[in-house]
Amino acid sequence: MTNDMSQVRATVLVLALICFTCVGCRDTSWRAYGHDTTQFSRQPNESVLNASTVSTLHVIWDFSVPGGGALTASPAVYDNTVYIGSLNGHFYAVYASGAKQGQIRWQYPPAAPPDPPDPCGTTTAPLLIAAGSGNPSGPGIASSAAIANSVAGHTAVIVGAPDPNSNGGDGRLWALDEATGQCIWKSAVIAPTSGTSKIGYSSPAIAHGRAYVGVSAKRPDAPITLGRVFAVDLSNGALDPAFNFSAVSGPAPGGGVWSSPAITPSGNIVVTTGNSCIHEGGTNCNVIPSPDYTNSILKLDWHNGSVLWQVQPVAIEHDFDPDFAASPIVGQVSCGSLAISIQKDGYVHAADIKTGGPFSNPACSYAGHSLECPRWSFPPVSSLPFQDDGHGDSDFKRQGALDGDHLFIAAGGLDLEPPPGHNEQEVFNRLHSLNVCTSDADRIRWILPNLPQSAGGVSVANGVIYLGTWSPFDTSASPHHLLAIADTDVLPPTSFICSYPGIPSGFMCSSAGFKNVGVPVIVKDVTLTGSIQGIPAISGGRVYVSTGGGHLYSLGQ
Amino acid sequence: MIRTSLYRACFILVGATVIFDLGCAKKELEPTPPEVTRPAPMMRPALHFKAVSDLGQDVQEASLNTQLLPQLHSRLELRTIVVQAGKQLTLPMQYEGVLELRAGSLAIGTESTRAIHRRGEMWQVYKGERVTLQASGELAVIRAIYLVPGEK
Repeated sequence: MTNDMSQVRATVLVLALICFTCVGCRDTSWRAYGHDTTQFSRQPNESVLNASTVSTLHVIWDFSVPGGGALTASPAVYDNTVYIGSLNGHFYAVYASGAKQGQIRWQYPPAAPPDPPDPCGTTTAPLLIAAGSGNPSGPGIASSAAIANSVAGHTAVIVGAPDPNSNGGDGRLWALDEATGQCIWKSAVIAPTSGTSKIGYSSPAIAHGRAYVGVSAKRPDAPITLGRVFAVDLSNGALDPAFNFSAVSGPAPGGGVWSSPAITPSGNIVVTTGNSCIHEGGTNCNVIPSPDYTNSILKLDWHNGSVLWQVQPVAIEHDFDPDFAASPIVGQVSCGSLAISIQKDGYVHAADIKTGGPFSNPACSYAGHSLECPRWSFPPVSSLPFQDDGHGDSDFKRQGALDGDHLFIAAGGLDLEPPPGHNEQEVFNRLHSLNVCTSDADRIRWILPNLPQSAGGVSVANGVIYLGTWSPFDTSASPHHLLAIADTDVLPPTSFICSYPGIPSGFMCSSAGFKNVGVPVIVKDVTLTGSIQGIPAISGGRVYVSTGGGHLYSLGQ
Repeated sequence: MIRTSLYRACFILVGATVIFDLGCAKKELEPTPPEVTRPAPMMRPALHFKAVSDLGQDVQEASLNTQLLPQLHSRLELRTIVVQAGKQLTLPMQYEGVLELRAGSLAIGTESTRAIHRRGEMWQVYKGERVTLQASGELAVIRAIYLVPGEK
């Protein structure tokens, strides 16, 4: 009997230990652009910050880039360290907490060249394109870092950057030891300076022992470049010759990859692409390319880059620069698996990821283009592709965050133009929450209007949405805001607004066929220095925010 | 007795785990729902752009529609005008009408005014007026609605 009781006690103890260990080991790191390869920008393991505690959010430390240098990349957080590259060509590892919080743990390139020399031929020259960048994503590092384990025996930070010791800035991926900053390898050249492309804002997606990354134009589409995605072997930095994706196949360029690839639940790749040169002039630009993967959301086979489906909402003849600048959000929701992204014209499109392929649907295809239909678009559309002249660059470039079926995104809304007499800026100064698994009529959950500036990078944890305001291409020290917003599931809305802009809420709204939707509570508004283009990273009770003004902030209670 | 119960409990736990795992294995990671049903697209003919006056490839226009207005002895001409980014360009207005910015961002100047226009904004132009245009993005797209007099 005593023996049996001991066994019961032992079993209970073991189970309790297992539970305790599980809770204690929850990974609170933020390992990549958008948190992980789904790019949900959601922290699932945040245990400190919630709607009740976030009201005391304030700046804990402020790391100002030495000598100045805009931060347009998003921070990654791992091993009590925040990792980020600057447009000044330096990559910084900054202590996240503890006695040295806010201080540099290491930087690359180092202050002195390594002795003996490392495999990368590291010098002290910053990672810059020497000449001819001209791009707001340059001349230094705009690519956000990703943390990868088992990189030649190291845990490594993988980031795209120019190589100053290779033809004045050939674009490569770099693998740096996360603890020391020592260069493990630099990849083969991905974007040669002799060409028109660079690794711009694209951040590596880690999967299958590879890092997947895209290239876009060295200058902002002057000229337009050929969009490509590369697969880099994490063990040695070699390019995988079996993986080959080009957005067009001659004779003219197009389809730059300004965004970061995402990985589907079964391991395939989803990328978004930029515009063609059909209305931008240039040699052969009057020829419609075949295949034409410009201005699209694409699912690629992870083995070889072959296209499994393509959603191209705007017919190429009407391509007036509506690139997908935003990265895709990819993963499982209650109604299946979706790939969601927003085009610069303000339209959000969600496509079923699907098993297998290639897929196409005649209902959305046109001559020379076998296309899939999105499951839904926001605002709703009755027919695709678009064939009007209203699809251009309206600065909708941030991809939002996804929590369950709830998307938080700076989108154009039901009316992409402001109500008569209202300022155009109103269209940009609002955040939408959409239900990704419901009907068009019920798509909008809530709208937060009248933000102090355009809605920028978004992340979410525990029903609190962290939104940075931004001004595209602004690298000044102008004040911007980090807002902590309570989802209406955790705090009731402050008021109601008509889902269609300009129509008064109440009976007039509902009788016009629209919905009265809530306006969520802004729990905290913190003013920071510089435009917040990147995604606020949530980790261990802190929010890490980078700004175009050259500041990296840690905010906490 | 207790030992027997423990064995039973363990057996049930293992069995439940196996069943649960099998259930998970069968769960479709990327379900393939039926294709979206929509009306087939009616493709319009592509627009034919041509250079405007002597501005070369920097400003191009295409005709969208022409509508006769017999009672006004006039016609309406709808055109799409594409302005490349970069240089400040001067466009002499052939007709009176209204311009609407359809895409992109554009700085507009006339003899008397200068303004930044965003998508959806409209402004009036007059015959003979010299309008300066400077697109701040890569492209700006203007819808021009001209009233052309003298047509029956």
